[in-house]
Amino acid sequence: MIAAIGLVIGIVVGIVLHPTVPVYLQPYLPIAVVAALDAVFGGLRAMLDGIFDDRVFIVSFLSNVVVAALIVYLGDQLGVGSQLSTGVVVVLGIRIFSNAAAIRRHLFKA
Amino acid sequence: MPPAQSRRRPVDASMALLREVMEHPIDPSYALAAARRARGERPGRRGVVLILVLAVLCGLFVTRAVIELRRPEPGQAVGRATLEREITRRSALAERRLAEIQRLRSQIASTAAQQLTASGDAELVTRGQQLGLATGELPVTGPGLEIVLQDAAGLGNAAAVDPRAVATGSDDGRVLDRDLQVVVNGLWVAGAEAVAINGRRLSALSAIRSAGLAILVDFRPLKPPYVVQAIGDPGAMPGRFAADAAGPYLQSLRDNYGVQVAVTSATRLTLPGAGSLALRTAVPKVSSPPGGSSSASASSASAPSASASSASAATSASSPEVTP
Repeated sequence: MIAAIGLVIGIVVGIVLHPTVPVYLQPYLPIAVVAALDAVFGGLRAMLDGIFDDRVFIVSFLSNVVVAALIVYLGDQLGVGSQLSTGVVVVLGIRIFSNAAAIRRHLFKA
Repeated sequence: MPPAQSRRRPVDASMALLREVMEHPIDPSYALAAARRARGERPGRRGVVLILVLAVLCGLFVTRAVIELRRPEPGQAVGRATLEREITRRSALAERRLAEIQRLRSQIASTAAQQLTASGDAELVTRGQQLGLATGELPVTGPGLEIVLQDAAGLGNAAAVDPRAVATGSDDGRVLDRDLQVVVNGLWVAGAEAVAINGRRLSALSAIRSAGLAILVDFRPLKPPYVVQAIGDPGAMPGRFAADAAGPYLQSLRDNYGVQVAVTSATRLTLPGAGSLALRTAVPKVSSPPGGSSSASASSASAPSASASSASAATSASSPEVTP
């Protein structure tokens, strides 16, 4: 629960204040956002499954974002940045869809 | 001894990764953590604070990233503004140069006329002027016909203002280059002496074409509405135009496609000169002029006049091709 509250506080602070993202992080933002979305959906599903855990959520969130950024960085260095980004988006997209489907089953029993 | 079942390769072994992704989208650590909790292990106080701080930072970062990504790139806007300024500047420059060209051209024409008048050949001067009018080189004023074509009303304003805007829906009511060609040819047939579209004078070498949705006259795009002005006999031309092929064509455009067409007679129209009619051929005058001098002297006399102006060159060519 703490993690969810913290996340909401962070989002509100981010909207109210306007901290700038350093320029060198810019290329990794799209993938990082998708990865974060995946972690959020995973956490939501775990919550509905009754097995949510703050520590696991935070660790999965951070590792998702870091790994996604790392893959993009690696791809950029190897010259296959866009292809690797596509791969990451596909995999994360599938996971988001599966989790969204599970959440839907929980909420609507359908 | 393991059963034979497990030694055989699973059918979907090559899709293990996909199956993993599809069937276990949730982090397995959640289940492990739940099991730990079930055994009664609780996280310490420090852990809770750390989690809270990290969660706030994560939310902050994601929000910031989303806001950053949703904002249009500042570099793009700057580049666009620079390009727009450049286009405006260059267009103004081109307009100024065009005015300069027109001024110099009229100066050349008047100088040539003076020269010819000084040489005493008044007939050549009038001939040159007449040909200049007929070929579209010189501006003309006179009574005539004005035809305004406009895209059908349903076509949306954006497309009407900017011919390059992508049209949505049916294109039937749009004025095409073909329509303008038919109208202009109809006007020539009806006896027009000079024709201009949107202030652009047509010569025998003018082209009406289209590029995308824009209609080009002499490779310059036009903006609707399309105003076709023709100078000609105010008594005969409107009737002949209506009776010819172009009249019924316009009628069918109006009736079938909703193209807005307005044909009006004008008592006084002023059409600009097309200018820049390059001298393409010049033939020395071999036939003896009315003065009755020898052919050798005539050719030497006509050489400077041929280079003086294209009109006099057309005179010596003495061919009727210059009529449009």
